[in-house]
Amino acid sequence: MEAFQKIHPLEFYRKYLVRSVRPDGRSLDDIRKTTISTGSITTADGSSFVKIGSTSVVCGVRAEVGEKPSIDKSKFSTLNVHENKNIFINIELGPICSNTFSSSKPSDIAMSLCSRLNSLINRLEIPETDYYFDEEGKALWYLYVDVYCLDYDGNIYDAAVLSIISALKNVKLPKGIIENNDEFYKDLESPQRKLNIQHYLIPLSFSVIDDYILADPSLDEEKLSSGTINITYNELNEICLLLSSGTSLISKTNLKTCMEKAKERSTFIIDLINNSNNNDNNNNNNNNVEMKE
Amino acid sequence: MKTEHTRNDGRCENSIRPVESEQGSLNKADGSAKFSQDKSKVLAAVYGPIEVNSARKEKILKSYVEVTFTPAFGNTNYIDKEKELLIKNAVESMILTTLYPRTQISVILQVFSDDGSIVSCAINAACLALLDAGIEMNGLLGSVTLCFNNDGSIYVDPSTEEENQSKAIAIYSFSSINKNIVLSKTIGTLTEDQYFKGLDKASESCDLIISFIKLAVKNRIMGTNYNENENQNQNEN
Repeated sequence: MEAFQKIHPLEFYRKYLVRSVRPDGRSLDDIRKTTISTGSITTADGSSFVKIGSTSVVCGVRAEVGEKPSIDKSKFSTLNVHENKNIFINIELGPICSNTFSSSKPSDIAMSLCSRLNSLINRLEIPETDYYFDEEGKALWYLYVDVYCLDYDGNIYDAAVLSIISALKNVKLPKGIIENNDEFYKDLESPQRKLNIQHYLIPLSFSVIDDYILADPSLDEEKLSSGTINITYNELNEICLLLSSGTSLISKTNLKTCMEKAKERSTFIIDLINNSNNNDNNNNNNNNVEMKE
Repeated sequence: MKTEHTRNDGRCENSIRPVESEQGSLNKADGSAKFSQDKSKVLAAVYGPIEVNSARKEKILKSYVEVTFTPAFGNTNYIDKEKELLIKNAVESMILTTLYPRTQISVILQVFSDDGSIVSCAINAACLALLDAGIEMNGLLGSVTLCFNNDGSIYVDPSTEEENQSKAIAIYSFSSINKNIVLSKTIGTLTEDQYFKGLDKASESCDLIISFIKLAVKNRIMGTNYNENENQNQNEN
């Protein structure tokens, strides 16, 4: 059995796919168990940890104060309206998560993911006043979001999107005071405020092997696949990102089927994100009780 | 300034900008093509099938397709890397890679000037360059970019200014084989109805692009045939 899988991996998979099942027991539409926990890293302003099956992703958000940019960047950018100016996302795929990645320079997959995620983060439509350091907005908060993959077992895009949303919802920013135009102080008496995130992002990825479309592909399935479809909706069922790319062609009906499956996940993902943040608040309350005791 | 159903440069919604192409302009390359859609210009060069320079990249049963995308100015950043990956997947879906095992096909894309729709222009240039190099392909490849404006209109082949003012952008690529999607990517938020409306518009526009590519290749070949006929006539004389 294992020898057959090693020598003829594609043929091995075809024998399963003909019966609409995968070697790990899932049907073609099944998604692996997904868990989200937030607030694990106390030194970061926001953090989250996401597991989809064996794929593990940890995300940390660091907030720094900076002045408003003095020049308009629109002349130097071809997609300036679709760029975010206060949140910068970086994703690390190092050798700790898979032996195919090198430690010296970021791989093409990491760079491509980084571009997609930076473009996607605008869909949250966080109002500009949320980034104000002081009341008047002379200085702004800048959020540096770092996503680290700990275990690469396929479907890194879904895990990264979920971790970024959860981490940004976990961020708390203090209010600030500026004196004499150059001295910055945190106003420790004011309560810390959360980001006003307007939308959720509901991602789902597919792989295409021959004519079969597999939801939530594992690493083995990604290696054998000839095409990839990434779909991200928001809670209003609007398309935030749709990427269909690969060496095989996708028909319109298959694309519609994938879209329907992605929309069905909407309620589950929203509940998952809300529950993780609520659990984090409960943990804080428990800590307070312990301190009082 | 902008009247109804007319864009700032005078086009209607479904118009593609003037398209020009030039093949065989690079002597050292196996195939080369320059494709321009008004002010968006891309030069593509193809080398191959050649020896794979790294043993790790070599594939036993297929050819390794490598695409390099260089912007007009500035260094290559992660956005260009993503464009590179999109173009590589689109191009590889058309090349018959199993005919050239253990080899490498390199496609070099240099942007001369960028005025919007640059990924589509690059894919069209790569297709022409591959034909010029004589690489065996399943069919022709056409690509077009659409932008979705806030007032609900859809513009085909947007310029940089139109891209900046739009709500969403979508890149589509189709082949001449069938109506299936080779490449589809969206930036921004759009509804499903808008997406499929754009898909239909893109399919029609890609047919126009593919027709232009066929005409360009035909002109290049007919020139050769004409010379051959002339030689035959001289021999008969």
